[in-house]
Amino acid sequence: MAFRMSEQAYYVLLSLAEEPRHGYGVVQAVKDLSDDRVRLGAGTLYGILDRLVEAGYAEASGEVVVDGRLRRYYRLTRDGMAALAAETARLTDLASLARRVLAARPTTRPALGSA
Amino acid sequence: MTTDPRFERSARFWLRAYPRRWRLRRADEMVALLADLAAPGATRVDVRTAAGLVRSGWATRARTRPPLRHALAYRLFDRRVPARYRGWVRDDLEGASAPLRVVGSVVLVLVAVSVLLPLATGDRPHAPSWSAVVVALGMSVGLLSRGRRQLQKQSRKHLVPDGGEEVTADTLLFGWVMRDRLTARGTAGILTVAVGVVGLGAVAACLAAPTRLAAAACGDACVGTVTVARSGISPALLVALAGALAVGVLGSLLARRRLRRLVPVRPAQHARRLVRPTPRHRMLLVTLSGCILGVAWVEGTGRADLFFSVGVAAGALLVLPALLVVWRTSWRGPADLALVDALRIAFRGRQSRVDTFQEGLVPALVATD
Repeated sequence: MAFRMSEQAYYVLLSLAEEPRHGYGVVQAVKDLSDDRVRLGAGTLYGILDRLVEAGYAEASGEVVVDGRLRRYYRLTRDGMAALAAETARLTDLASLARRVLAARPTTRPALGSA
Repeated sequence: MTTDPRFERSARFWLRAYPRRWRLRRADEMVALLADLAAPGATRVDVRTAAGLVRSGWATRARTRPPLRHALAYRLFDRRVPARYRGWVRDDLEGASAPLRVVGSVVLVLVAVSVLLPLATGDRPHAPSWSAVVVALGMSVGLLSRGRRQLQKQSRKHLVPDGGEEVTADTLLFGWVMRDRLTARGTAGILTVAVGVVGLGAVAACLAAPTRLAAAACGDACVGTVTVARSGISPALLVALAGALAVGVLGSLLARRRLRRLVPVRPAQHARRLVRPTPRHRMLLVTLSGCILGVAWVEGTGRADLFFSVGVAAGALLVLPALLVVWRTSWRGPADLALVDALRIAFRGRQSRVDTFQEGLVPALVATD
């Protein structure tokens, strides 16, 4: 099953690329990475994590209990890294394409016809 | 800072939107995350989060469910589903709603026979007859009581992988497992209440029944059953019931002595796992009690002659006092007392045998991290 790369999923991949993190760590990291713009809810986060694990992009990498709360860490697999790199390349291409299109645009707006 | 138990209860309640296989693996970390994300001092999951959980939970169910054709082939023709949906089958077999589905399918058959069949043949649909209800209840009891063996059979068929198949977290293989036994503490109470209620119903039927079944000679070497009208309880029946109660009370004294003597010296049970009654046990008890109460009602209101309820009333009065003693011991005695131990000691004065490991299904993959 192909993995559908949403913006939220991309942020989760990014946060896991930095270091293995537990659920709350991912939520915090995504919040920081996106300048407080993307706030993941628990349901959304685990929906993404489940899909990442199913696609083989992420895996559990151990668990610890802190103050009676279970924290399971997740890390990116090699496939996950590759998917992140591919998506980043795609976004870079897209951005440079957009830059080219915008740069080629004439500075004055052409007349669309007489009013 | 540990999680507030009230918050945890609320979180686990909303997590029920997720399938059982998911909860078994992830519920603990999800509860921790919800607690981390919640406002300090929160005692319940807020509405917005709860809505998100329900939505994501159902999305998870939808994503991990087998396609309709596999689900139908499994449901209707008992066919195996592809390996990646085995977790779904496992939930279907072992989940809390599995016994409900058993009773539901029996009711469905009943409705199909009494409504759909007449419609198909051009008759008017009719309400299910009493005998049909009795048959349905009987079928339910039969199917529910086969539970454990049936589950084992189904698991062997549906959950064990074929040769060369990829092993997943849901794959089960044959292995040696502990013997499950019901705890005395969790079970003796509901058993005693059920016997008490059933006994009360049967005694009421004995008091109220307008007719009773009797045997009468009908010539040489011929005995037939006849209906005899009655008004109130006959002295013979009263003596019989009072006698049963007296024997029961004496028996309970004996049971109490046996429990006091033998419970502390029970053999160690290393191959035993104590479990609380499952929904299947509860449903079995409720259905069985329902059947007996139904018969008591039929006999007590004169729709049938009094016969069955006499035996039930006498039996209940006979065992109820000892069951009360067992219940008391379960609460005051050791926590690892199994119901089978307590009943065997109370009623037969013997220790139960030492349980041995049994062949069963165990997860093929065990988490190592």
